[in-house]
Amino acid sequence: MLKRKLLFFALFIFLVFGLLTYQSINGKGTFLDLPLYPLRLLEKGASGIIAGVENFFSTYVMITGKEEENRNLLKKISTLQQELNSCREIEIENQRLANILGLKSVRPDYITAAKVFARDPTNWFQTLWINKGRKDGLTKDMVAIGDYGPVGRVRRVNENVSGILLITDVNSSVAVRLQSSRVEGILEGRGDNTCYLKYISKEVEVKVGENLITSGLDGIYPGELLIGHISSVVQKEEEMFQVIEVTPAQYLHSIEEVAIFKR
Amino acid sequence: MKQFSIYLLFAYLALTVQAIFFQGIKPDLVLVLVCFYALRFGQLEGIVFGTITGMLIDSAGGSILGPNILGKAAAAFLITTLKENLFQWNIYINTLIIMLLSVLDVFLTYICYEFFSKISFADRPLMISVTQIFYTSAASVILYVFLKPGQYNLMAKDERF
Repeated sequence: MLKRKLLFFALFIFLVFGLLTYQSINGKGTFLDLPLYPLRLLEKGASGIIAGVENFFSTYVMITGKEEENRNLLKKISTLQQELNSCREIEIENQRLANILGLKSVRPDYITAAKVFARDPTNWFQTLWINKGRKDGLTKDMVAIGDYGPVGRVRRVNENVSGILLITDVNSSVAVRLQSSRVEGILEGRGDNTCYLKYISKEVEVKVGENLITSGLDGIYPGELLIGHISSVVQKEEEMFQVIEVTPAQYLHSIEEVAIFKR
Repeated sequence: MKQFSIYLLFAYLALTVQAIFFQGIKPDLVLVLVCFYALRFGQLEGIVFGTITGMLIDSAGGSILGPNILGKAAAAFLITTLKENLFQWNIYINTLIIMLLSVLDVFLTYICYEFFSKISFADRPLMISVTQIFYTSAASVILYVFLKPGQYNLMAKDERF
């Protein structure tokens, strides 16, 4: 019985390895978009529900639970508080959107602004899903920029949604330069919330806190955009180059909106 | 079929939770579901469920199809084989085995990406995987209380092979 089971499983592994080898030789993966539609719908729905619940808690629940005798007196104040709170939320959102839309007037390569509704469900890839797709004019390798700097580039485009490959993903490489010394390097993602600045010679003096800007030499990201700050510099004897860690200028774990630009 | 559909819906919900609620490192809730499904419905059913959910995760990742199929199906195969050969099954053994299967899943996925894709995860901090395994083990404890997979006898399913 066990032998039969093992034989069956060995055959299964053989088939999976066959599929992997086929994709490896072809040089591209085989994606199945159809089973992902329910996932995107669930993510969009859940994202909307969370936003609604957050709004409810910030405007209503916070002001309930007052003592009975003060209720009448506080009723007017609480109504005003609700309005004030809503206004504050709107003001913050407006500020964020104004920052993004402000780019439109100074940058002719601006395409659209989009809302982030989900992230990659695994720990292997650092991707965001936005609510704009092919019908909004998005194509592969367009650049996503947040309030404080570049976020990533468009990697997958569907009709209504797109996937953004973040600069912190291990697949991501961005041509950058140190703002003070103008030395060029490559910014590569680590797979967590930070990046490595690669190919910086040991002779170059790099200070912690120094700004890093895009050079535009990769043909994807526009030049002169603040992309991060140096967070640590280590010189190892066995390494040819310095080991430099970079914290992205834009905190990528809490980003809500992005602006999309042409290549 | 009905149970399969329910568990598949759970898998979709698990992926939604992972995509929305966890902003940093996420647990692998689907691996826990695959293990519980295999414990409850048998080895072949577990492998099929693992293959389908693995395919879903690989498609969501957008790289190559296969690493998660292999990881999840291997988890279903091994957990049922272990269950058949162990005298008792409780929450402690269940958690320990899921922890080990989580390590295996991460390892298999890593190997597949390294060998069959152009992506290298060599520079990725080890702490990401360690934290993921810890979170997955914690999730298996919580889900064990609700799904109680250890109560089902797999011997009856053996005739299928």
